[in-house]
Amino acid sequence: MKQDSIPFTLNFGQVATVGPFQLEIETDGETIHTGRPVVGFLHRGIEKIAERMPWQGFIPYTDRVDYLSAIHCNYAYALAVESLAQIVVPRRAVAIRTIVAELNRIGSHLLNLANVSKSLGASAAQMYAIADREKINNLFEMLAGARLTYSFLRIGGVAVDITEGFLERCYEFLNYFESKLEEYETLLTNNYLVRGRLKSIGIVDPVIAVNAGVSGPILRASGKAFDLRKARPYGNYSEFSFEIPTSDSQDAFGRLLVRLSEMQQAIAILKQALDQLPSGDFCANLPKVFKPAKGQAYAAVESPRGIFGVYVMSSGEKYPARVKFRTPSFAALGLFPSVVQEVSVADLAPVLASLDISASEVDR
Amino acid sequence: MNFELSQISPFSAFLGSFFSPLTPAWLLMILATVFFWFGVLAPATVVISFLDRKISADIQRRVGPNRTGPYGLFQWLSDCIKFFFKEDLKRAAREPVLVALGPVIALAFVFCSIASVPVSRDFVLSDVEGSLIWIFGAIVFSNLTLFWTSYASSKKGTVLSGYRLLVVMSSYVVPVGVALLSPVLVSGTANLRAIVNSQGGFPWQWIFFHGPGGVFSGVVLFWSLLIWQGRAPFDVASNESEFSAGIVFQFSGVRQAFLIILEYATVFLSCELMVALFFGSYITPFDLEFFGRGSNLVEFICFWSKVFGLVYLVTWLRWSLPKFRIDQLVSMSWKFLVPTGVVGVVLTAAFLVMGRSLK
Repeated sequence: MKQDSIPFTLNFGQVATVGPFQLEIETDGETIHTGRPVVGFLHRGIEKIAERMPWQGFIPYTDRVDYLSAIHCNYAYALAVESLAQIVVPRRAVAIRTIVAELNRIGSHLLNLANVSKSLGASAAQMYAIADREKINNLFEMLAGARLTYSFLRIGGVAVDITEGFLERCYEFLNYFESKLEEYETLLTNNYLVRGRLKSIGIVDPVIAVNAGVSGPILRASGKAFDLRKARPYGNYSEFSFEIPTSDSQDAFGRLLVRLSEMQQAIAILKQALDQLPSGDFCANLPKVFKPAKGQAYAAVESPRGIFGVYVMSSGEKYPARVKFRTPSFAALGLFPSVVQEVSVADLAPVLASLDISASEVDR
Repeated sequence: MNFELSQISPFSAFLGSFFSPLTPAWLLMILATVFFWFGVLAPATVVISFLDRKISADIQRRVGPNRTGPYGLFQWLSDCIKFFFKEDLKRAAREPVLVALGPVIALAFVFCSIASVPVSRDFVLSDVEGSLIWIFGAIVFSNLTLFWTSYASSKKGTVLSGYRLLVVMSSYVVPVGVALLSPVLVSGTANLRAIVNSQGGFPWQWIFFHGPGGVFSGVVLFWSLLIWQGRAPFDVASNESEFSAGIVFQFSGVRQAFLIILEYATVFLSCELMVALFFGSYITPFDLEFFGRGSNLVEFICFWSKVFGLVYLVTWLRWSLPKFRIDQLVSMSWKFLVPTGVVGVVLTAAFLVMGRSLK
């Protein structure tokens, strides 16, 4: 501990509203010298619960692993089980999965935008992001019946087919949101104060990021163009043309730019997916009592926070023998000690918000 | 002690003209204070709090309060009642008297300053010789008493937030002082009422447009007073998203209400000062002989419309801009505000030497 350092334990809500975890920092009042996260407050034993839930019945639990990107959690689990049981997913179901996954990505990035704006005090930008996210919530409510934790995917496809009117509302939203993205450029990217606050703070070195297992916008803002949708394509992502936005600045501002660009790319993917929506079944037929053969499988998707992976092991029973989640926020939170070195106390909240940590993912 | 009532409190003298000449001065002054309190100060604070909530809602695409009375007009009343019912938190403090006293004295300074600002030609509650200098001192000291509050508490976060308050003080005191020089130079006096009277009704007769110096000084004063108000984008001392949000959250109940009223009163005082020093306050472009006694009312309306225009601007800035970090605030103050203020004073002086006058 440095000479005039005071240890602080910041409880939930004292800094940005990122979730229930504690931060133990040592500061002299202006600069933070060391920092350490204390996690586990949201541990619910989801992986243990999996061992007594039927395979299909576990899907609502996967939503809650990361409620901000519930579709991606569903997706990774469904992919893992389908790979384990050699199930072929119908083309229409794959396309619908892409549509909802990209919508969820936009929603999650909007929430992160709101968090970053709130940490900077830009309450107008925060409210606009939340208001736009409401439109996505309404779309999901129309399709899946829920606004946050959808349980929309099933093993072998999706729960229901596209409801009447959903496609039109989706197109409407995309047109509306494209112009809103320009507004966010003005409010955030080109704002003198936002640049002054976010640039050069929360530097994440690409080597440290890779070694820590960090992925997603944090890694891409450090300069490495790695995205599972291009590197190991799943679903029908290889059919669409989109780019992987990166930034060389490694700071919180770079992450903001990357997320804004990713929303742009998500709109592009959505437009292509909606235009090319094939017809057919929305779910494969599964036996009434689903017992995949003995074995193990791993599948990963590119969630808004990074690589979200699920490992499943079956011993031939109705219930999984083991389910393990590999969550991106866990790795990102591990960056915390290195990222807050010599950071001003005023910058702690924006840095934390820019890491986009979902506490439920960290603890499961 | 012999004094002419109209010299120290023109408003009391104005009120006295309605009663018999035998009414004692102290009674008139008390009456004037009560009248001023309920006629100017309280409505101003209440209206500014209402405007704050409605304008912020508009900027954030919300509706704002709309249940308590039509368009939420009585929200302030329900807030008042609520604060009286809240538990008065007594945190353990090293110096409980200082902690409790801080907001009260800060309020007293700000209220007394508001009393010195002329609202219309006869509505000046207190008119001292160098009222501008007194107001400047009150602006500085009101923050200092808030510093007692945080320094004397026992929570480390609060004490740190007190140090930040001192840093903020160092950022606004010098620019305010420099910017105040321009109106004093142009009007030749430090008496706020005289400064207002030296301006005319039309924009080109305002000190703000008295050459580029007026604009520079006006902008510097406006910006530095924003820093004094301690609201976003400059709320480093009472920042919600940093853990040193000590000053405001020490209190609950009526004491907390003091700090909230203090915030709105400082907004009001800042806008009043700007309007009085740079925008001609209540002076109307047209002649008011037609109205006779009612000319006060016309000037009242003129004054309020200018003040509320500035209040809208202040509220707009508060709710749309992100916050400055403390080192950015200090560097902006010393590298931008102070030099600009000095340039403003020099230009004003140059214009005066060249013989330009206001009317």
